Order: sequence, then structure tokens, then C-alpha cells
Amino acid sequence: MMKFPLLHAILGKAVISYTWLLCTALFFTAVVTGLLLFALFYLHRNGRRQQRKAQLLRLFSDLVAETVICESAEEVEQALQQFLVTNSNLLNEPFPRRVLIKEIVKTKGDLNGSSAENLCTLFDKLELDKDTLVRLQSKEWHRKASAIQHLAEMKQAKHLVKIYRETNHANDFIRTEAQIAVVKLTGFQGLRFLNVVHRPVSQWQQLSFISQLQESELEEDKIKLWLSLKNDSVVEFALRLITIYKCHGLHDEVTALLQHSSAAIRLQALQALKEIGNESTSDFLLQNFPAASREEQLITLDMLRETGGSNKEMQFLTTLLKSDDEAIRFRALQAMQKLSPAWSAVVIRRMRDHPDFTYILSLLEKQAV
Amino acid sequence: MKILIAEDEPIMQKTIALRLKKDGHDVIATDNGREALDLIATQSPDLIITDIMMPYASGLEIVGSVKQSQNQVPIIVLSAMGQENVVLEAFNLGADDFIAKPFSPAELSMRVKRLMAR
Repeated sequence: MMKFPLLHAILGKAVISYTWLLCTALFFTAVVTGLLLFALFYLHRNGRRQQRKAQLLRLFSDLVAETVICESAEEVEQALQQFLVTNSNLLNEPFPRRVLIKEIVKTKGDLNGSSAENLCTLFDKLELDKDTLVRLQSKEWHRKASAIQHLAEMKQAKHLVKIYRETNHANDFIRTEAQIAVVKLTGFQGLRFLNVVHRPVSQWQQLSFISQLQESELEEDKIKLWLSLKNDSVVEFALRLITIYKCHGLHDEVTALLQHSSAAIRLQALQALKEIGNESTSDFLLQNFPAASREEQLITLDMLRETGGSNKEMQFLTTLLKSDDEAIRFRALQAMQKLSPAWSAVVIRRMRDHPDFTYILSLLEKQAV
Repeated sequence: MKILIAEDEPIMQKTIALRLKKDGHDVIATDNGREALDLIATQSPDLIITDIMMPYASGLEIVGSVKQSQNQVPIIVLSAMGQENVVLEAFNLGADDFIAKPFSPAELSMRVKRLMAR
């Protein structure tokens, strides 16, 4: 062999390679077989689970439908007892209970009035809140969030404290569900989490809260507090409430926000002032005008067009005709025309031949036509 | 009175059926639009309650098809809240009434009575 070192090297290597190849092939065959078996087992288990779920859904749909059309809590109890006669053990297992919870919650979403109340009664009678609370303890965000949603949908105000704890949760979904849930369960009072929440409250959430609120519950003191918080989204939401519910008592706090560092808050403050403006509003608007952004200036001019009219405002509008911005000049002239046609007629006469105003005046004429 | 319910959500279908049976009506139900059209042709219901979102043929297609065939059977359309365009389209096609989800089965029952009386 020493005569052929190269051959030895090749053959030796080849022998090692064959063994290695065989081992590798065996290993991969085992892995593939394992994976196939696992897939088969998984598919089989999943299939059985789906089959069981479909069977349960058929059973539960009868119970839920019967419950929905009941006319009293006693009738709900009767329907439940009737169901339990043949299915007494079914509701001792966690899986069927989970399926039932989902069905009840889903169905309630399509119903209102006493039918929806009946489903809450059924939820209470079967103590399904216990299962939901177990899910609430889950480490998985989607289980936790859905548990919160279910508790709110089923009006489980008795678990408010547990839900409230999640209103400042780091996970967006859990926090959002918890915040909406507390408002759903306790209305305006539920919004107290805004006092401490330090994460942004999205536009969608803000609208969701508003849709849950009743005007009669509103407390201006609380809204006033929110206006002073560092969380911009809370300030914005408070301004939304002021706009919608016309909280005239907070006029001065709102005008102070015209100088806020956040553009969104300044714009929302202007929107609020459109609704709650009084005789002092235009003074604030005029003061604020030079420092305002272009968008804010245009809104301010629209507001002045509706509420202004004093000599001071007319003079101010006249000075704006010297602005480089055509849109500002146009809005100023438009406001003047609305507030004092005589004043604007004089102004227009003066600038009729000025090239900067040719386009604006033609626009105004078109509008008048 | 024979009422056809076209609703693909099993619980909702059962709920409406139970409610109407309780009111003394005969109920036929289906979970898809195509079968609903067949049932309308073969069973001649006195009233149709149809959901908008249905497999094979939507509630709008059912309304359109029924009204196009000069069939005067009243139709109540069920739809999710906020589907204004769909509701307008349904009325445009000839639907007689509309109920937005979430709804109350008791209210539906009243509307059925009112339509039947008409």
C-alpha cells in the first residue's frame, strides 16, 4: 500500500465516505419518517378535533338559539336545564366550554336587546367567566386579549379590577382590548386609566371610547386634568371629547393649547374652539396667528369668517392681504366679504388692478355666482 | 305563512327560525344563495329573509333575481351595521325592509308581522 500512497488515500477516504453516506442516509430517512409520522399524527389529531368541534357547534347552536329567543331569565334557566339533561358531562371539559364561549360571544355580536342579555345570563349560569379568567392569566397575548374582549362582551363587570390592571400593558393588543373593555363596562368612569397611561392611545381607540360614552356621564374636571397631561394622545382625546360634547367650561384651557408643541393637539384645539368659541376666542386666535403653522392659519381664517366681525378683526384681515401666500390672501378676503361686504367692497376696489389679486378675485366672483 | 331564511351563520339561522316558528310560521332555511334561489322557485315562500353576505349568491343577487322575475314576495335584508351602500343597493333592487346587525329577533318578528299585514 505504501507503494501507492495516493490510492490508499483515495480508497481509505472512499471507505470512510461510504460509511458516512450510509449513516447520513439512515439519519435522514429516520428524520423524514419521524416528520411524516408527526404530520400524520398532527393531521389525524387536528381532524378529530375539527370533527369534535363541528359536533359541539351543532349541539351548542341549539342551546344558544333557544336561549336567544327566551323571554325571561327563568326561560333561559329552563332551556339550559333541558340541554343539561342530555349533555350534563359535556360542560365539565375545558374544550367544549371554550367552544361554547366563542359561540356565545360571536352570536352576541349580532344581537341586541333582551336576546343579547339572555346570552350574558347563560354565560353567568354556566360560570364561563372562570374559563375566561384562566385565559386571562395566559402568557400568550392573543389569548389574554381575547379573554378581555370576552369578559367585556359578556358584561363581566365583577372582573373589572383584573381587566383594569391590563390597561397599561406593554402589548398593544392587550392594552387596547383592556382599555376598550373598561370603557364598555363602566362608561366614562372607566376612562380613569387615562390619568396614568403613558403609552399612546390610537385614533381608532379614541373613536371606540367615544362610541361607548353617554353625554350625561361626562365630567369636565376629569377632562380638564387630561388636558394637562404629558401623554399627547390623551390630550388629543380630551380635546375630541370637548369638541363632540361642547364643553364650554374648558374654553380657556383649550385656547392655552394653541401653543402646544404638538401640531396634532394644536389642530384639535382649533377644532374644539370651533364648537366652544365665545367672544374672547378671536383675540386668542389673532394672538396666536403669527406663530401658527400654515394649516392652522387657514383654519383660523375659516373660524374668523364664521365668528369675527369686529373692527380689530377686519383690520387684521386687511393686513393679511399683504401676505405672500395666495391661499392666506384668498381666505382673508373671503372672510372679509362674509363679515362685512361694505368693507370688502372698498378693499376689492383698491386692489382690482393689482396682479397678485387677479386670480383670487376671479375665484371669489365665481363663488359668488 | 311560509318564510324562507337565507343565512349562512348556523346559530343566527336557527335563532331566526325558532323565533318565527314560535310566531306560528312555517320556516324553510338555507345557508347559501344558490339554494335559496332554488327554494324560492320550488317552494314559493310568502316572505324571504336574507343575509347580504352569502356563499354562491349574495343577498343582493337574491333580491335582484326575485324582483326581476316579477315575483312580489316581500324581502327583508339582514346586513351588518355601516353597510350603507349595500342597504341602498338592496332597496334600489326592490327589498322591502332592512335590519342591521346587531338586531333583536323580537324586532325582526314585528317587522315580519308588519310586512305580512301589508
